[in-house]
Amino acid sequence: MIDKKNPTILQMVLVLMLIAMICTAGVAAVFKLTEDTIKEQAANKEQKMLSEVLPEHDNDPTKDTVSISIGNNKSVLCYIAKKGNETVGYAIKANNKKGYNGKVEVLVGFKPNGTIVKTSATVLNETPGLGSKAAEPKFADQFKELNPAEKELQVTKDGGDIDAISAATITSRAYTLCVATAYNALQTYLGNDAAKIEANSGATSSANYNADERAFDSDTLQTNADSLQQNIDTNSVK
Amino acid sequence: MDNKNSKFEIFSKGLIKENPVLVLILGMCPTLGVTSSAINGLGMGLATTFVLLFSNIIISIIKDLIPDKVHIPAYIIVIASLVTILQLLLKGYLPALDESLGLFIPLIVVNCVVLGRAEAFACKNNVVDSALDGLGMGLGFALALTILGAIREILGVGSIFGYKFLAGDGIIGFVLAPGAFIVLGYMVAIAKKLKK
Amino acid sequence: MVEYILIIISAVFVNNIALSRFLGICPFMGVSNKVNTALGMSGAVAFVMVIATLVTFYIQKLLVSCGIDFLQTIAFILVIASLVQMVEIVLKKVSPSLYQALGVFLPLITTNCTVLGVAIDVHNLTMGVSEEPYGVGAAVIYALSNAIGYGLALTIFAGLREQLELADVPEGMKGVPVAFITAGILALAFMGFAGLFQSIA
Repeated sequence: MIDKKNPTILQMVLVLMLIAMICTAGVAAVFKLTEDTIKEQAANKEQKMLSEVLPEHDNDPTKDTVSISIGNNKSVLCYIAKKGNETVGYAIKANNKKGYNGKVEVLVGFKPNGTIVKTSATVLNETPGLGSKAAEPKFADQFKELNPAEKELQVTKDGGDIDAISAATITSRAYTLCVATAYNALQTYLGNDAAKIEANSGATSSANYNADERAFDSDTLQTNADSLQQNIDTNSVK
Repeated sequence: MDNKNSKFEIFSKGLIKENPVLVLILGMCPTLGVTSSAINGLGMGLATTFVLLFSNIIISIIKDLIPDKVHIPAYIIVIASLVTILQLLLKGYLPALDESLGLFIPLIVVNCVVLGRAEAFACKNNVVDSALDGLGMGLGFALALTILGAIREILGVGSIFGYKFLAGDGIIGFVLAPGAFIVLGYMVAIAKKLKK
Repeated sequence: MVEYILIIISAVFVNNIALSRFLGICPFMGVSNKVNTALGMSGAVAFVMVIATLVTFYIQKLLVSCGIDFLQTIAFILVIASLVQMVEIVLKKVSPSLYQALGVFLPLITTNCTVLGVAIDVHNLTMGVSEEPYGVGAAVIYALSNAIGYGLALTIFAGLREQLELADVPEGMKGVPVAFITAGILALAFMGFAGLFQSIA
């Protein structure tokens, strides 16, 4: 047996290795058992979120996606909802890092004409009790049934039509900017550049904004080519 | 030692008399970090109880096989494996809880309550006693976290377990970092008073 | 460069690891009676945190490439525990004076959750500073600035507690309770930094 007080090096190494092996085997077994459930959960969550923001559809939007380039080497993911063969809506996941605690990501559901169905925050690390309220209906439902072409997608402080959460203007701006980015991406995808709206957070300086804008323009050609390619891609997915 | 009374004593001391949070001041990180609501406190408490119970059982079984010199690394391997198993189970079956507890789940590994009980109790006692000790300490931890979470949720948001019963916004400071320290400070003071 | 500055400000002030994210609170309460011990502890944490983050950064790459990244927690804590031992042995031989200053704190660091927390952090979140996960340079900067933030909080807190000894504290609040409440007020002060990040970003 093992001498508890004065073990040899070999004994110590063997005991530790044995424990490590048994423990790792146990963990690996649990991993194998839970692997499928974890994947299922993640897929379920995505589907649930999508069905929340999209109109009624009968396809699986998680399997019908395109990536839309929005300039600056960035792209957003667009889920396409279909009923029969007709496209009934788009859901676009857009993010920026202009939130109070950094990244904010919003899933925005659109009807084919660009009217917003609903928005839902997928990443929101904002201050609990303040910025976290962006996920609550009082703020998020302002975007319901809103057509960005008709309303100003900015908080009221910046001259827009969105009421910011009290004491959390920065979060409100970041969230609104996500929605605007998603809307512009949709217009890019639909080849409808003229319908684009101003997408700035209000907090950025004008110089910054102009630079962004220019980058956007020079990318338009590229994105048009991209969307053609995407159309082909989506067709081949079908 | 083997009569019913002392078994109950082993189990119950963790709840109040030697409460790991309020009396021993151990495991402060999750205590402060996740208790912005009562449900998070309860979830974290029960997650820690799971690890504590099984780590105490396993360690009391293998205690005679481990040379003294390497007992700490051996315990850490056992605890880390249990935490990983817990992490996988939560991801699979309670993803919402996993998301709200976040980083604090893997950090159960370095929760001093777990290693502390392994060192102070499980490596000297038999399996049944160790299991009772782990369960008692874990539930004591869960109790303290749930109370702290409940107080912060009531004062900060005006709700309890997500059920809103007060109109208005509440005192946001209590949901944020400072509230955690201040409420816990008062709780420790009250526990001190009650102990006397 | 801007990214690095943002990481530093975010980790030291805005998302201070002790006062706003509650990591490493046990030693925060334990060794913060004297400014000198607080400084020693901060130094030891900084030392181990940077090395641990660097090593675990590559360990994670290895785990991912083998498809066994679910073993992250186990692998990291073992690496950190052995690293602490190794640092202790090497320091003893190479720099006895540094060992004199930091030695007593080193064993405490294995169970200091800041080290494991930061090591896991760099693979999961970026505090909104960058869109991509951190590269190795940013990871080291992140570790270093978290260590500085921890040291800053610890030292300020120790200074406050030294003063507190002279204050007339009600009987029931003496010791731990009043320390918690002081920490709460300090956290409140650190919340004032929150807007800083936004104005620079």
